[in-house]
Amino acid sequence: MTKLLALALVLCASPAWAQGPIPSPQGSETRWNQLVDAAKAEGKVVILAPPDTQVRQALPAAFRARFGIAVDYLGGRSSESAGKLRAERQAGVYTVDVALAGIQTMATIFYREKMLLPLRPELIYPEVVDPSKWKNGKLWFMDPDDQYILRLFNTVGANFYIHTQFAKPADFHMARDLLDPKWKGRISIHDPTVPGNGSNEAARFYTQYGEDFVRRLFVDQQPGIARDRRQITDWLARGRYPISIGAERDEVERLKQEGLPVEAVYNLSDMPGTLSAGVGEVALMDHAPHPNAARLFANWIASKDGLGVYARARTESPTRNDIDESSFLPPEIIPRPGVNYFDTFGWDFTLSTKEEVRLRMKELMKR
Amino acid sequence: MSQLAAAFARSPKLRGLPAVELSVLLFFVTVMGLPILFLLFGSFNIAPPGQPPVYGLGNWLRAFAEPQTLSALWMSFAFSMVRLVPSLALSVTFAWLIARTDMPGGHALEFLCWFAYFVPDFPLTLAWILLLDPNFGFLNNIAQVLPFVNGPLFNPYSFWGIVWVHLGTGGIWLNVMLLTPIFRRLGATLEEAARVAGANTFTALLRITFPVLSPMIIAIAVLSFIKGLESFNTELLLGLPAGIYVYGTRIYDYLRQEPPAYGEATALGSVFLLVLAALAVFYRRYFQGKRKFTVVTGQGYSTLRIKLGKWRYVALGGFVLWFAVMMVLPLTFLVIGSFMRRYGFFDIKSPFTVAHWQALFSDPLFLGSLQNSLEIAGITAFLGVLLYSLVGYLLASRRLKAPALLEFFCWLPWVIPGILMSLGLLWVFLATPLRGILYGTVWGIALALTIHDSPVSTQAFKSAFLQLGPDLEEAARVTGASWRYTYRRILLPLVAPVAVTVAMLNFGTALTSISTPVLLYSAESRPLSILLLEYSFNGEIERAAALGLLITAIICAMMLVGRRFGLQMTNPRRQEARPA
Repeated sequence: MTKLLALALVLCASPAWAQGPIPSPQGSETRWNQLVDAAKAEGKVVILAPPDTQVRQALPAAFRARFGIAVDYLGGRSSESAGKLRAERQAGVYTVDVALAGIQTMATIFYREKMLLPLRPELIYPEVVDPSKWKNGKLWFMDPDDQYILRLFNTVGANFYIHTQFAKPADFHMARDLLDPKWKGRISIHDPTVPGNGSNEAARFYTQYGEDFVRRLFVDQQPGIARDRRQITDWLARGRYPISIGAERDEVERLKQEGLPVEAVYNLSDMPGTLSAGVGEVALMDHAPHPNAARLFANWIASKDGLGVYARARTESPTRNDIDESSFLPPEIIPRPGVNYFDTFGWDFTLSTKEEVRLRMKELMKR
Repeated sequence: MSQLAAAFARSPKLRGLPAVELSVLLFFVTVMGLPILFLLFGSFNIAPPGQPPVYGLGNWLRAFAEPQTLSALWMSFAFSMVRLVPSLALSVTFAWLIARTDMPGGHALEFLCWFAYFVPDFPLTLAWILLLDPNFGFLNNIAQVLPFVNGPLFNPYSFWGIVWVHLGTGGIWLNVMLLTPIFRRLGATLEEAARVAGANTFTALLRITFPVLSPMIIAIAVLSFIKGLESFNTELLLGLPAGIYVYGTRIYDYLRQEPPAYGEATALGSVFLLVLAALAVFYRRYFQGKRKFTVVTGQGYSTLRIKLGKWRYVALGGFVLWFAVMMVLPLTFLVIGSFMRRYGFFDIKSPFTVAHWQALFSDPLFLGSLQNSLEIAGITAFLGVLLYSLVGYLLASRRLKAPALLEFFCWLPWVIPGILMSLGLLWVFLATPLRGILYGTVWGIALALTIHDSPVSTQAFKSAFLQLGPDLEEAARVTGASWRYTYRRILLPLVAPVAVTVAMLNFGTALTSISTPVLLYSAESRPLSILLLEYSFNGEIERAAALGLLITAIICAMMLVGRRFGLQMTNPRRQEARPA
């Protein structure tokens, strides 16, 4: 419902953006206007983006309303998109202009296989290149070259979720409380032996608390294991497994809106919560068929307007500081200064730790 | 391509092949053989993605070195075998009852089987969870009121739970669809002769009917077995919580890795090729040199139905009961689910809504995707009939020089996991000069779907042509008809019911298939099934259920038209009235 409301707000607001001039300092305005004209001449931009219906409706509508340029939105699983892009490139075919994806896809496929164009030099919109508009005091590029993959979201993730008829927030003070024998067979997890949420969570626990903790939690506690996000959330909602480590935030939000007794557990004394960017990274594909429209889109999605639309549609915390996120986000998921969160989207953590722990989980769980 | 053709022409064994056979073989080598060759070749590339290729056995060793691979393979064999027996027995019985007996309502029941086959699997499996879950399952809750029940009676998260759900989703209904027209074509002469010789209905069925129809029955058994080996979706939902892993899941795991491990997935998938090769050898040996399947000749033909007497109502009752339990029950939950705020949650505030249907129809991509889907399905149905009627005829004619090769190619698309086959086709499409026509267009997707339908379409046509006696062609030839004229005016009309079945099946499969178009679509050619995938991926099960039901309704509408057309051509009453 929040997403629908956000989408409605976005679409209602679109005509106003279309009328407003783009604020830009002297000198760069000409360059910007040339880019807009060239992008309009190309007619459309093709983006590879998450298979999310809210985003798929909000982003193209807002971009078209702003610039009159169509967006071909290709949503799909990143593993399939990667196979498709790789085959296209081997045949010298280039169909995608811009990628919006998670760090795993960006780092292990697009970046590693050199499919990306440096984005930093293409960002020219004044409010985008202005460091003071970003929470970190600079544009947050994720890659070691500091120029390919721009992080757009930074959201606090819950440690786990509970069904409050069977488990109370007061039952949990430290991470170790999850190992209490009374929760044996009462915890659900996303399968940690395959890449994705499950292996990310396992890697996080492994890094923070060590192998013994992970073995006790993921093996000895005999958790319910699933791969379907809806199945895990339904288990939580029905109390079949009243503690869910694998549930996804937007799914649990839907449950709460339906009045079901579920709660997120964010902060424990030794477990301050995680940070993630979800699918909030943007990169430019090289050999883009619509290079100017691609650059325009990248500038727009990193701007206050574009990122505002994207953050609202995904209910994520933007990395810009000029978007009123408190108007559409619950306070728990907005990072607080001074808290030592665990960033699950770190470069090394993504490229090496996650995969190492995933393989170790296969051994531990004998799967 | 021209080099390939030249190589074929130079081969002494193939030099004498008729032009038609050579053309069909070339086509199959290109669209079925090449993708698999690409995949197999690629599976030996052990270089990291994006790096220059380095060849070795690393992917294969890694895939088969995992200790769980063999146990998963064994589990898949167990599932496939256990499912096969009841599935085949029930589908043969149902098809026989519909087509060969006077059981009332046969046509309506056949229609219901068609309908059931195209109800989407995923939400149907969720419906079975709602019915059977040990903690909250509807049927378990009802069972608790029984005096002798102390715990949950059913558990879908188990070996037998998975077998049960599979029996209700897909397999049996498809088999009935394929077998019924074949049974319908069966002349009653043989059965009447058996009865005159003193055999009762059961004996005639076992000794005459089933052996005569064995090409299709065995083909369906092979199809079911291979599909059973590949199955993993239901096992992911129901097997994982119980620690049940199947072989398809292991392939799926490699495909879903980031970056996807196509090499390892292809290595594991090659086991299916071995199974296929073994089955193909058995299949050919079984039928080699025998021509005992002819049931339609030029010397009199009758399709009089067997009278079951009072048992006709028992048969009807049994069929209806099976359909009610296996389809109506979960389908009711599925339909209700599409109108629920949250699928299966009856105790939340205001549980019912039409919002998901509204959201579906107001999706900006809906109309365009609907148009694409109808175009793709229409082309697929047409291409399928055109191509596979010819292939089926060639295989049944027994005049081929390389029948085993052609037969093998026909089976290939089902022994390679859908997404891998799609990847192989993607490579082929991109490598051909026809790239502009095939890649990212409805034509390319339709061609891929036509290829995917090869096993079932070919076997259906082949079985139908095997039923026709050679005297029909000979008589036409004696009276001066050309082969083309004979094929068009005599043979095709006789197999028209099967052609309609294949067309409708291909149409329906094209509307529901996800794994085939997922790598081949573009923004301009996105079909409804990709929308369905997006909804499911996004956790919007209710909207996915609504779309799934809508697709089923479209297929039903087409079926009504198609069946009317097909039944007109094979109206038993009309045929019974013909002089012998």
